[in-house]
Amino acid sequence: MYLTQEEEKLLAGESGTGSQLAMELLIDLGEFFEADRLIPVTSAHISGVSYLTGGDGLIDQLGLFIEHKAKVSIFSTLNPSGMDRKNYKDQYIDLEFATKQFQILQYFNDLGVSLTCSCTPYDFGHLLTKGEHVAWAESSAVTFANSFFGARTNKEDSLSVLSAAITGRTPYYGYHLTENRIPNVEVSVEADILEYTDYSMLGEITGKAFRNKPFPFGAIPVFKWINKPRPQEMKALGASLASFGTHIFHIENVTPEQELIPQAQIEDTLIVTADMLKETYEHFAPPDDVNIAVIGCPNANLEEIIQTAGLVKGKKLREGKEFWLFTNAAQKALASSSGYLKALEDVGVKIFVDTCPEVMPYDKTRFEKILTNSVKAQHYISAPSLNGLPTYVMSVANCVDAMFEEEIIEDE
Amino acid sequence: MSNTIYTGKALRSSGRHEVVGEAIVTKNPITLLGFVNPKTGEITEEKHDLNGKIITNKIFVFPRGIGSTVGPYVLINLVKNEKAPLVIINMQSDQGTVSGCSVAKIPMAYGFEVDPTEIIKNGDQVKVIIENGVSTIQILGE
Repeated sequence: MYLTQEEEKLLAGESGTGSQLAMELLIDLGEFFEADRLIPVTSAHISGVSYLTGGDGLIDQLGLFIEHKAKVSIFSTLNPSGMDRKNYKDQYIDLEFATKQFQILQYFNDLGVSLTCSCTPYDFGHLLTKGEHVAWAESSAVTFANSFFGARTNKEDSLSVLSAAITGRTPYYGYHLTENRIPNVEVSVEADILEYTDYSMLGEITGKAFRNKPFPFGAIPVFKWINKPRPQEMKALGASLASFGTHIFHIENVTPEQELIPQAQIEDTLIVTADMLKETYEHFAPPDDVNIAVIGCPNANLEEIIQTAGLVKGKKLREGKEFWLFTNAAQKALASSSGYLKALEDVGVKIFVDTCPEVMPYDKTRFEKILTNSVKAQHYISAPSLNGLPTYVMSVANCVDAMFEEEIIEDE
Repeated sequence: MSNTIYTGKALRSSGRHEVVGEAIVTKNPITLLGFVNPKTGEITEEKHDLNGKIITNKIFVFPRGIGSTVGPYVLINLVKNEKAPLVIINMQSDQGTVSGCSVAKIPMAYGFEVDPTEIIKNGDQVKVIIENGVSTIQILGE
């Protein structure tokens, strides 16, 4: 692999052992993917923050970088941690977990990473331009960066993204090259895809259909016949697809790289029917009563918060039920200044920031199963080595109906 | 014992290793985060053909990793807990497995002309030599 003089110096350790470690990793990756060189990247979004997912290995690894005086060299935001930094007790998280989590966050702070702690950095100003080369981890954010912005990032992992953030470089392969962004499967959508969870289900159906195809960079669907989605609906679609190894998609007349659609090399097709959508909803429907609903995977934006506030208006939580909404600090501040936060809190909704429904540890004495509006959350909450709790999916309106009842105001 | 030696690539940072061990093989992708238990080395994915099997101190042969970008920390935690495989051999592999092996210093081989998940059977004794970014594998017997 060709290295510039400056990169050779980094590899030789002239800027410290931290950036040398980072360069070694990038070269391993570059050789593996047969990249001919590294390219500069303008921003990083870093995953691997929660103590639940990273464990003590994460603490050790960050500690090693800090010991070697590594610092990030480009604008870098951070994925959700395992808890709300202020309100973790409301998540029933104990001090032992919190202590480990604070240590991880301190380390990231020492590395020079902004402690934004959200999977939706684009909702608070980490925006990208079409064609911009970046290094993002967090599979749903990667898919959003490629598909919504038309920016170029591979699905960096938690270590490669840290290496990219430190050196400002990433191997030039995969989605950085136009040829690997061209659609290879076509998805015609006959079913009515109308809201957030419909898009999440569409991602599940599509991802599953092509999951075993040997595409080098995953299935790259071009969706036809769907109405113009809102950004958060594209986020939901991408989050589901990403669980199946698809990190870029195109929608006819919507996404920014329309010029790639006529170049499509379609190797398989799928028609998503109303029956398929119905069956998928049935597959994920709760068989019986659940006492908690969690929404905000990926983290809810202001529009989703406002929608939820509308749904719970005039209702009260049923006895023994909880409703949690996960967002980031910026959206929460806006929800607060515009009055929606109070409306939600007044009816008992708990709003958490800095974390998400998947990377937090649930108190299993309280919660035996979980209800959510996101298929991605379903995949990961139910994963045995994470929380391993049976998880079910319904639209946010149905989640609200399951947890709330009408408040009966008696006349004097 | 087969005399055939298959040559492939290896991570440059893996250094030199000569390892003989028992193979554990699957043709299905491995989801590191969530379905490999870093405390026990056990695969815990219900519908996976290796569900319930232990990868610790084995020659772990699979096509590629899939799933979360936090997967590499599972490999680091496996090493920390002394539950890591001896060597990882992949067909296509993926970013997370490469990064995790690079940092966790789990020797990793890939890029063979033949599909290692085809030629190596579960329980085979396999010899793996890794040096300077090149790897060789030899199947010693069942």
